Amino acid sequence: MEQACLQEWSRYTPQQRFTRYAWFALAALVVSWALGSVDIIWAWVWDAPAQMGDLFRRMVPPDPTHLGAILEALWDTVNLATIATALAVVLALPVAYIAAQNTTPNAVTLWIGRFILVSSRSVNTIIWALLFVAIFGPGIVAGIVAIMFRSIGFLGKLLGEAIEEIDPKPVEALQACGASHFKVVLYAIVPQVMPTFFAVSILRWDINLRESTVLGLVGAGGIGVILQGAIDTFNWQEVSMVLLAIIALVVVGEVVSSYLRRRIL
Amino acid sequence: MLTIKGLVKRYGAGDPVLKDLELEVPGEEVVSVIGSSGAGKSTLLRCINRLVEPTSGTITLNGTDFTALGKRDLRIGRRRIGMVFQSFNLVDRLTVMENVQSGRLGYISTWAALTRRYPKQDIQRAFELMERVGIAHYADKRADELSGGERQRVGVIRALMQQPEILLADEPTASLDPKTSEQIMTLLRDLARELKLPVIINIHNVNEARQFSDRIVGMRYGRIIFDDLPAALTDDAMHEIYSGIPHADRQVEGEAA
Repeated sequence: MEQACLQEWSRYTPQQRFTRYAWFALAALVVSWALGSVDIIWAWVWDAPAQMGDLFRRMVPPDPTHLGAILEALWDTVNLATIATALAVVLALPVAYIAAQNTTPNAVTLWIGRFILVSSRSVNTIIWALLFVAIFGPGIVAGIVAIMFRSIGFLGKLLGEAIEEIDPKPVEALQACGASHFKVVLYAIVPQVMPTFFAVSILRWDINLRESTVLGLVGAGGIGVILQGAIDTFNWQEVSMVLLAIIALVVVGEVVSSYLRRRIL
Repeated sequence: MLTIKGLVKRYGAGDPVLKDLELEVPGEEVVSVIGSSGAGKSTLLRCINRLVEPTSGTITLNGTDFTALGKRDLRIGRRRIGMVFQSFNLVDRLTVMENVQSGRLGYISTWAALTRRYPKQDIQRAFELMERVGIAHYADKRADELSGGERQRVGVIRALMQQPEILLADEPTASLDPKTSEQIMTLLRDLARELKLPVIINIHNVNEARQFSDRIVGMRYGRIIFDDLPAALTDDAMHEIYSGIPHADRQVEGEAA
């Protein structure tokens, strides 16, 4: 017993301890270098709490005079998100099909599919919107196309993964029946990815609803246009009204999507 | 009649799984294929409908050489071969009727398949067969709501819907309890007689093989080493089929397990 108490134990050897401290020092160095190399105007940072309080006072109470226009823009936003999601779902199906290893016809189509997914996903919705505002001009069409382009990557990737994870046994059974490739997809693959399909589509609609509220900032339609206008004219009471409306919309979207999830799945 | 001549299946560079295999299944008999795991039973069955592509040899069913068929002709050819699987291989989220009708997918139009508007005579036949095996009242249930024995009945009916000229059953009872297993074997034997259908069954349970088949084929290391009536399957023959596995093969088996 005595002997056991005297036994020495340490989690790290001196060598390991030294290496760990070296890494900590390096991390501290990197952080301080990063902070030093960006231009922070510290006066404005220390000033922030006062500014926040000031802005808050100017925002209260929210100004409901343009509530009609705000609600209309909100409805536009809902439509924008819904239409874009619906289009994206349809377009994502073939992309998912060729991006999944077990259904893609050949290596070239697999490569094309993955390229579409990566390029769609690596560009943010706002950047897509900037591009399409330049192409279609400002308005809701640019917003719809922007949201759609971003959603194809998201939906295609998750659906493609669902296709890759199906049970291959029913596929084999239907091939043994002499069913054509398309019918095998229809009977053995589609039923298996159905739950994921609905879950992912609802989730994306929910995300799109939130994303489409900011699209107006770059002129791509929706509630963001009114928000941008109010900020530009320092109409802070209207800004707070718009923000409240957006929060209400997001909450409603959340409720609707969780209800749909419960109903369908 | 099914005739297999000189069938070889080799995966990669190793020893072939099937070695110059010859087998003839005439008319309407129930043939059980027995042998230890890795003997090549499953590969043999899958070579017949080319779920596994044979390396060489010919497989002829009632005059059609299956090994020579192109992609499209193979699809049409596969309609003539029904297959029953160990794990049933049903589509769980479809109804029993949809699973049964999927046996007709090789015959009906894509539009009919998509809209589930199956031909009247197919529905009629499905109900008759389901009635025969006692699952007709499950027609609108989802396949995953059924018990193992019921699911395998769906699997058998799906294969029979093809109106096949031969039925292949790959360890159809291995996932079932002994009683259910016996019911399914009885069913396969009786249906084979009623429909005058030859059946090849891969099976591990030698007692069931003896009890339900007209002929037993014993395989070992990709060759047929026993082919006779069930009564001729003596202890010596059993010993030859199942035991005395050489060291090298035993290792391979251990890896597979």
